[in-house]
Amino acid sequence: MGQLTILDNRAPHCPFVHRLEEHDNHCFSMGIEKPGYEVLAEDHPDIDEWLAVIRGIDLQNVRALPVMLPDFFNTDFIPTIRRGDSELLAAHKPKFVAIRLEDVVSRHELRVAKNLDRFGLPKGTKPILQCYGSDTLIENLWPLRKEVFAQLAKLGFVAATSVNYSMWDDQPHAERLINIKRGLITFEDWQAAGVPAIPHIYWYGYKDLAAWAEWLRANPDVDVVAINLQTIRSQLEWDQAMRHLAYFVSILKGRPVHFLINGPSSLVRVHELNDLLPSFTLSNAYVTRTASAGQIISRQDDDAWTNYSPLPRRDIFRSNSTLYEQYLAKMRDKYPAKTKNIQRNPSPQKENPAKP
Amino acid sequence: MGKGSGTSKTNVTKRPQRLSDSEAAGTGGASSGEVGSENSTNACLFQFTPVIEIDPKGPGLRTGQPVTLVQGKSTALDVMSGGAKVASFSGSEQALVEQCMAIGYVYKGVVRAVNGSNATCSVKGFGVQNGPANDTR
Repeated sequence: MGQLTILDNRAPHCPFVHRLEEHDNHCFSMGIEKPGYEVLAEDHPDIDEWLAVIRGIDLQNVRALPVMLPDFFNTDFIPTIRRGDSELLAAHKPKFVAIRLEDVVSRHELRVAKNLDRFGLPKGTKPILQCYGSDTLIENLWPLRKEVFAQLAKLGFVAATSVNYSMWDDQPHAERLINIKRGLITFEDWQAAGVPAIPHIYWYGYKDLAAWAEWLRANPDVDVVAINLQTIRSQLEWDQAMRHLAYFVSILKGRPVHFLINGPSSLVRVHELNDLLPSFTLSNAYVTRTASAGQIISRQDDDAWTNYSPLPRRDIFRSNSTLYEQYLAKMRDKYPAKTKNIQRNPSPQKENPAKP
Repeated sequence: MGKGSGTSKTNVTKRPQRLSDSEAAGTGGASSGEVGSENSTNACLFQFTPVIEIDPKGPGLRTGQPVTLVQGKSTALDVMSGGAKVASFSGSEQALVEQCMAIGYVYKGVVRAVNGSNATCSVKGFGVQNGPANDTR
């Protein structure tokens, strides 16, 4: 038994016990949370209402509908582009680009872009919406999300991830359990808005991952999930995430799932993901950020570095994107047995995801 | 795998949805269709007096205590109060309540009487309206 801290004070009637790791006794906010960020704890005056609005913390009352998702299974890499990146796309035509929520919805007023012209998408490049936004934006969005989603649905996104309501490891567990469920509620909202939805999976520990695995087993129409690893910086956090993902893959027990992983730019980390996941597509903004700054990426094996290049930005973007595409394709060729093996009861409404 | 405590958390206030018991409520519900949409009145905005079964392991109940119905792990609905599960509800209205919850309605009220292991409550349905509870927050 570890040493008790001021936060180790489990409420005598904590309603979340079945979803808590043994060490997690963080029931109350105790009034010591960082000022400026409202957290939901068991002592929050509106906790009951929050739980009612999200239909409890359990995931099982959200049902995934059959959906026609694009062919992510044969796509290794998706660049994330920002508004103002249109010149980058002049020399390279990715199959998909990822667009972030805050580049199409304003943070405070929730003004929605009228179209995607600002991104200069080449004909045939399909946009997907990653709902990984600032906390200010996604909290403002929560009560108005249905109207905003209805407007976003007109912009031609071929898929959208659910919203990643934030979780911090040092927050009371009510906050994260409610935020995990809020994210899944937005998956349901995307379905209602008619946009092919991809659930974004967020977790704290093994119990959350078990709950997600249970939900995936109950919802066989979901064969793609999104995971945002963008906020992972330290090696310690990365190693923990990899341990958790290894556990998640193990408890899926052959239930085929394709992962859309957002964030990692380090090839060492990408390699680790390739070793760990049965099937995944990588997205990151690194290729666009570096290209916009005139930095061309080079690599040797798993080592990558950047140098300033006088080449036009569009050519740098093509080179940077191609580097990731080729790196991932090379790994796919190296391990053909484990790649793109999603093939399960294709329904007439779905594109056949199997690789020929 | 949450974010580390070092990542920024600033200027963030939760904006709960606005609950309303008016006829216009409920448009902010989920995706499963509207219960009672064939009628002119909203079938989910009803009031009832459920008898709830007090959780023997819970903190107990007193007259006047606010309660909220929440979907939980068990087949019965959880009755929550002050962040704790205080009772369960599995009465005749449960099916309709769950149908309405699935499209976004919320049921809350107060305890009217406590009788041993049971309590009688007065509970009302509220629709979740699109829009924040308080725009000035």
